[in-house]
Amino acid sequence: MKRIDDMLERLKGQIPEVSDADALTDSIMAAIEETEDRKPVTVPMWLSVLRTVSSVAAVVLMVLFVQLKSEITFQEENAETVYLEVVSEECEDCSPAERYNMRIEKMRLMNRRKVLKERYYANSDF
Amino acid sequence: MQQIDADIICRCKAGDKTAFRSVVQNCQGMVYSLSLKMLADVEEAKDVVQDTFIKVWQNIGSYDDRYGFSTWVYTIASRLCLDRLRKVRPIGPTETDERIFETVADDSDPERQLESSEWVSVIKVLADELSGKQKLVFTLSQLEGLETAQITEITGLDADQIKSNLYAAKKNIRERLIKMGYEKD
Repeated sequence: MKRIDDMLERLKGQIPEVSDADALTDSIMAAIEETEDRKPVTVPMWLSVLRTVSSVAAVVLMVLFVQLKSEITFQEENAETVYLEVVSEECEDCSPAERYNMRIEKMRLMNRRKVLKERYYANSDF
Repeated sequence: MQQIDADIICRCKAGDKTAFRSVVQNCQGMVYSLSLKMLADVEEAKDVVQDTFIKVWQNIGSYDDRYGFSTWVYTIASRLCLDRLRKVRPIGPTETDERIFETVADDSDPERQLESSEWVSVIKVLADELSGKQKLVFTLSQLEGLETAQITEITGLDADQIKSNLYAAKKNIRERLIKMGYEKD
């Protein structure tokens, strides 16, 4: 492999010349100036902290809203079953007629609240 | 490798652009040499030279004086070259490249300095099938003539890894050259 080795040895340490070294230096210095001009404005520390905190707070509020909303919807959808359970717990010794009356009374109360809520939203600008 | 005065580096750290200009003038040749041999493209090589010195200027404040300045510059340049190699799909050697390579290989003048365009052809023929790491180790060791310790500092590879990458690169190049009809004996 003498010839291959000789050839590789001859290439060792040879430094190719830059065709226009001064022009390359100038372009490098110009590029440095340009990048310095384009340097982004540094944001104050308190502003970046405020941004982070408000973003986290917004996410937490959103999660709480979704959770509360789903809980209310679940309660409204299952009101009848819930009242049946509540009535049977509250009034263990009552007769079936009394239990029925109590349940009706509670449901009427709930419906009244619902009607009031609907009226409130109907009158408001929402 | 180029040696830069500690005083000039201190002035650069203080933001002196005249001092930095002299650093660029002193070191651009070695960065160009490395990037041309890695990328086999004159314009790409010049782009890497520019990007390297922009990075050097931006990070000179964090440069640790215990390490050689040239080694640090080489490290930045070699990473940029590897990034470019990952992004750009290399174009294999053409017939013209092979012809130029043969002219260079057959030249009996040991003092002959190769032109940039000749280097492009030589690298395309020699190192076309090497991986980025093999190309880097081969370039630093075989073409730039650096010691293993210096290559370790630049690439972060240990001596064994350098040895195995260099062995694989040389084996690949030899096989390629034998296929082209070069001497086996």
